[in-house]
Amino acid sequence: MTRRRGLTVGGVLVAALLSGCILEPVTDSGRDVASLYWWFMLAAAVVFAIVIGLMAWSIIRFRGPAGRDAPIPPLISGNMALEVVWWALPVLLVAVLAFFTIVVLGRVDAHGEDPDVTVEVTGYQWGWQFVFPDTGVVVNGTAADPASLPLPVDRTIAFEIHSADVVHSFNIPAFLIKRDAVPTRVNRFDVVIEEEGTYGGQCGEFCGLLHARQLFEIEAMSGEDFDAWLAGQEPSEARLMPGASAP
Amino acid sequence: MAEELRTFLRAGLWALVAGGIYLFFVGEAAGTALFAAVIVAAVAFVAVSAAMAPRSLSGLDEGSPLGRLIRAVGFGEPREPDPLHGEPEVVPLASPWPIVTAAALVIAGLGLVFGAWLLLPGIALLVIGGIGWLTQLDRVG
Amino acid sequence: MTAVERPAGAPAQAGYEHGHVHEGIVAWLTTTDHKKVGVLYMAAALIFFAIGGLMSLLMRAELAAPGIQLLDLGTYNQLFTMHGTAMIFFFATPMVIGLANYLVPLQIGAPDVAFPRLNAFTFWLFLFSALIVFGGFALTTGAAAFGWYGYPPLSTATYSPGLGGDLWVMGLFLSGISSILGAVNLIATMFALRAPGMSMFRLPLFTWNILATSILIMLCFPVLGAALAMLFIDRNLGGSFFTDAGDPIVYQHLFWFFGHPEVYIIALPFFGVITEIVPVFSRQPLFGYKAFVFATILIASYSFSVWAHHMFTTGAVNNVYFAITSFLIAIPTGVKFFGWTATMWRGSIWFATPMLFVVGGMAVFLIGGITGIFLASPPIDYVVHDTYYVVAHMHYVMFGTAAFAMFGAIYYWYPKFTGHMLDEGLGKLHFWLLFIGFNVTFFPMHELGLDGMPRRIGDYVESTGWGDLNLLATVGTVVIAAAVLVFAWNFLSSLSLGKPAGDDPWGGHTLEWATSSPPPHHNFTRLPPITSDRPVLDERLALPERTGGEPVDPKTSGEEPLPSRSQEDRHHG
Repeated sequence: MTRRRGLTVGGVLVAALLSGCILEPVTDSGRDVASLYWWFMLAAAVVFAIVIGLMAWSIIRFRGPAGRDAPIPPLISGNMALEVVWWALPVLLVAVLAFFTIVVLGRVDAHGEDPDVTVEVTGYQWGWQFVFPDTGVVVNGTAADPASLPLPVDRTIAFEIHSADVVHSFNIPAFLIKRDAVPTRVNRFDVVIEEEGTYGGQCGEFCGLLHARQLFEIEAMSGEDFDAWLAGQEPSEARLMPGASAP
Repeated sequence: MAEELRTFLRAGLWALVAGGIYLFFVGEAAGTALFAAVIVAAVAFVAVSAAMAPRSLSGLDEGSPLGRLIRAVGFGEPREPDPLHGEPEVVPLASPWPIVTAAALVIAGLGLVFGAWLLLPGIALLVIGGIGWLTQLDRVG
Repeated sequence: MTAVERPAGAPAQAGYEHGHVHEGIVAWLTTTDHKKVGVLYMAAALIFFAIGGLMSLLMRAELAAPGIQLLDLGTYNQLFTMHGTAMIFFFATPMVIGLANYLVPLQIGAPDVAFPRLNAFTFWLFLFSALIVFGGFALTTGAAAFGWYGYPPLSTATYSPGLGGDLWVMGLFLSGISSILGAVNLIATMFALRAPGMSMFRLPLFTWNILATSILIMLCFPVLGAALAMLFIDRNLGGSFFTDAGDPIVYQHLFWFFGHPEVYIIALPFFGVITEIVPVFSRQPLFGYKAFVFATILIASYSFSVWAHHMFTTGAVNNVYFAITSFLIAIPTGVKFFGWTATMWRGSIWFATPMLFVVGGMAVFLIGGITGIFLASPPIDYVVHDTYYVVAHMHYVMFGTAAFAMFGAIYYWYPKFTGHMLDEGLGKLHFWLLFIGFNVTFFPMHELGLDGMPRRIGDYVESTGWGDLNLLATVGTVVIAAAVLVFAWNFLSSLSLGKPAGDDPWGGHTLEWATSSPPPHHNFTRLPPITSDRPVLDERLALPERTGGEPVDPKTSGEEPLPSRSQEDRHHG
């Protein structure tokens, strides 16, 4: 009974695992992150298989009788050579993983000197404001009416992230990145979106009552469509963070 | 060398190593200050206890300075395998003062939130609890 | 080598043995006996575990489907704040201190902790401060609702007015004082009160882990206290440490300089529990005692250099430094896994309930440890930080230790605490319900997190498609609740109905099994000779009739016993 239930649940979990493993990148740095993630999954699967395998084998093979007065097998309290091996194995593993991590981290955190589009993002309780500083165009959103931000594909976009009050986090799951909006500081990350589409975003750092409602979305469109949209907008002075990072 | 001194020396030495790397590669103030605080705490602990019980430094008077340091913080079996042979503080099996003093401290803390009408009784009870605690052994003994 | 006799009323205590000892509730309110204080700690911790669990049931009910079902967002925010606060500060930490209180003096052969009244004081201070934190629920403005980590500026009076926040700050500050004093007491006990022959490298591994934990508490809780004091000044006295004139990031540094070691304050003692239970039920000594000690010390040391991996996305810390130090923790943790497995290898494993729980705990913790390596990599952390992936990771780590290993500890030591056995059948039912319910609840959260579902949200939009897995998680939570009810029934009914335990029902290795169950005041009437880290096993093996064959000499079993010294040497060595 227990075993059959275990198998059913196990099947559901394996299905969940497999479908959940898929990170689908839509940005340039997202591709690096997704492949790093796959390397980690591979290492994790190997480690999991080895450790669980050894544990399961020793439990099955060396099962003894119950009771406190059962005979005691010969005692073994250590083996230097084995211990050296299993100090060395994790050292090797984490050295490799750390190396790939640092390489990918450098690419994800890279800032171009001259991004094609700069967007000033301001998180506030509870919504997002987006400003294109070059043209003065402002896109506002609130908890009741979340912002929808048009952006071009295949251009380098720099997000400069501010907070008007508490700590928020500018988080677009499809881009495989987030960055906190911290009062007193400006954060930045750069992406090139590679696929057109609508990508939902949501505050990633708990920020008070309506945190769950602090949504926005990004509409990635072709460069021409974006230019046409931008040209049709009026500049606005209604900024939450006036001149926080004027070029 | 007494085991507790070695333990705190190790903690301080670890903070020195990790903090040194942090200062060198990161150079950020908050973390460096925290590592420095751990070092200061460890050194202060070792200095005070060594001053109070000079015997706890025994076994450190031979060999080169490096050898002495390694013996002090290393993980070899201590030269004195046995503990200090202390006894617990001698107390009755029951004492009302811990619960009274804890309640007093919490009332005083609530006083900081709610105002002087709680703070003053809290402090008064804290004094009573402290006196009761400290004089209890005199009366029973 | 002769057994060391310690009469029940050692001369120093004689005067007090005759004093009037209260019975009933007054005895519990005024006790200074480390065993009673330990029981109080554990009982209170289990009650807070139940309260925290009820909060999670409410939260899971709300999240079972998109839209608002049961709770408004403000109540949800209070619930997850208080769930985290309760589980970390008022369940896991006091559970550790309670177990340590009861077991450390027994394992080192001491009559009590070093400062018995301070011990009672720390318990009452912890209990009262927990009550004032929960007192926030009685206010019209509600309890604290800014997360268990209380980041400013959200936690300042501007954005979180109301006394609930002040009670939270004050309560945690006072419970921090309690933890520090408790750690001081345990450290003094372990250094000063070990029985003759109990050198540092013969300390049981649970005690070693408690020593490392106590040092972590002593070094990191003062930092929390400082951060909370500054936050209190910001909230009430017009300070600006963490707001406009100051820097909110400094609070995050201070909090996580405490907060990451805190994870190990919870995990290490339960590693110690696993390390005690696995050898006993494998009928083997621990494989690589010194490697375990060294790994414990390394984990404790590293835990002080990784704090800002909680801050990778702030853009304010050096992510490379903290990624590397975080990866390093995998090494000693991996070594512990190999050591546990090697202890079972060539053993003769008795699958009693405690063993079942710790093996289940190891499997659960393994998954939490592996996802921890993912999170230590900043590019991956950028994806899943503050999502349900972290909720899953953290619960795999915490359940593996503070739930599975904790229940293993209760099944293992309950006979010692009460003199009665817990029911094995109910114990196994409890395990399987918990194991299945836990995985059904938390495994799907990995996928929710990778799919972008942020944590700490009381509601989500239907179009996200997160509904199905959330419903599954909610169903799992109900199974966990059923498991806890089975445990509660087993725990309470066995107090009177459980089979009598005897001194040593499991064939234990360490000194707590050399005294009666429950132990008398001042613990021991007689101590076996201590020549290794498993004195009770050594003594059992020296009696040929117990093993049914050749006595096994510990001297030939692979570990050199330490040279013994006479009583005279010990005093003046």
